[in-house]
Amino acid sequence: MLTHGGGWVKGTWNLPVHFFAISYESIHFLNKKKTQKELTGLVDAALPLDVLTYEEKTLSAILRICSSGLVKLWSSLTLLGSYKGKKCAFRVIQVSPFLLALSGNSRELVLD
Amino acid sequence: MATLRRLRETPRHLLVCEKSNFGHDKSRHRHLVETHYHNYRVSFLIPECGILSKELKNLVMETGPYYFVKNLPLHELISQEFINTFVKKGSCCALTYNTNIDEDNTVALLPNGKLILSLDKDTYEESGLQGHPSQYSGRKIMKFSMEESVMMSYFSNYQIQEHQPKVSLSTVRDLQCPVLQSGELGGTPEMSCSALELFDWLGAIFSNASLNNEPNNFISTYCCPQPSTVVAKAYLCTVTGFILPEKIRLLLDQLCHYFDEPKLAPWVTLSVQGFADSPVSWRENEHGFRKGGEHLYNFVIFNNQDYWLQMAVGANDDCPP
Repeated sequence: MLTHGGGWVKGTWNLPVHFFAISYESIHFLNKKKTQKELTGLVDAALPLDVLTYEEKTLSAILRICSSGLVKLWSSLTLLGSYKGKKCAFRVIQVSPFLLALSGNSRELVLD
Repeated sequence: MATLRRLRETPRHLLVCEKSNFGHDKSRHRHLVETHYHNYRVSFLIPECGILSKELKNLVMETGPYYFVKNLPLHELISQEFINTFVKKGSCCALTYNTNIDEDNTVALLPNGKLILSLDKDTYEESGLQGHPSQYSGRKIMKFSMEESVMMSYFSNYQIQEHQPKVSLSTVRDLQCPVLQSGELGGTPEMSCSALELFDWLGAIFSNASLNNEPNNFISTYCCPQPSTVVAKAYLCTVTGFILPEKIRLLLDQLCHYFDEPKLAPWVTLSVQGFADSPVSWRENEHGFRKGGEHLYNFVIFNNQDYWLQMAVGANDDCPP
């Protein structure tokens, strides 16, 4: 399909990466290497992961993972219950292949 | 097995990019802005800008108000008085508050006067209305967006609150910005970045990601797409609330006029995010929430009046128009 202005690019399945916005409790900082091992449960970490943002005040972060690793990362985050002997829990707030979508969350609009 | 396979799959999303010129007769920019009804967040970025012009600032401060009405029975929205007072005059939008489109009953009023009810099976059967099944699988609290303050007196029998959108303004120094060429949507190696790279970069800016990618940075490998230039300062503005399409159209028009006088900036951007729980995205295209309820669009406005438009939707959405 051509618009009057010229060509267009359309992304479909498998846009190459997904972004996670997560919050976690009782853990101060994720060491990337440890995270990979903890998250995948494998001795040799298999999923390269980027921590794009980290906010200590809200204990929240934005992660980047290749789309093929989306399900593994999400399930690992859900099942991860402790770190260095301390109990912790991860809550996945938003997931999208569009980082711009993570800059706002309409479900957080509070009017009461 | 099929369920397992489906659970392992990455849900499909769509990003449509197009380019045109604001002066072109067939340009769809106005129509696309005006038919994206339920807008939660509007942001713009202006490189090489330290102070916002008076016109832009006024527009930003006048994106509201919107109204929050508690315990509003739905029949009020189809009363003749409501239709005459608000619906027939146009520019009246409403959306149920704190209802998740994938779990709860949701109601939306569109500016064209249509009332969209997204109901679960039991409510649908009780209602006795005729509808069609969702493509993708009360006494309600509503939020309204309206031009006039007559809303306050009309709903005085209910708990109504007036809200102003939240505005956040900031200046960023020494920002690495991608180099773009308006005629090259896909980018050119070594010469310009693509629309997709720009779209992700904008997300990083508005999410406050630092894109240093220094050699000792093992935390993130994400960095500004290349080629890029460093701008001394850039102005960022974000407005969140329940924002009418008309207000966004005025902002877009004003940003187009930004280049009426010569400016250092080669382009500016305007990004709009819809409510994740709106039952529609553009026009009456069904919108749903699978793993995310994103429906957003972004304009890149060039100094020669060319523009790029990127429209992105999630898994439970029709293709953008």
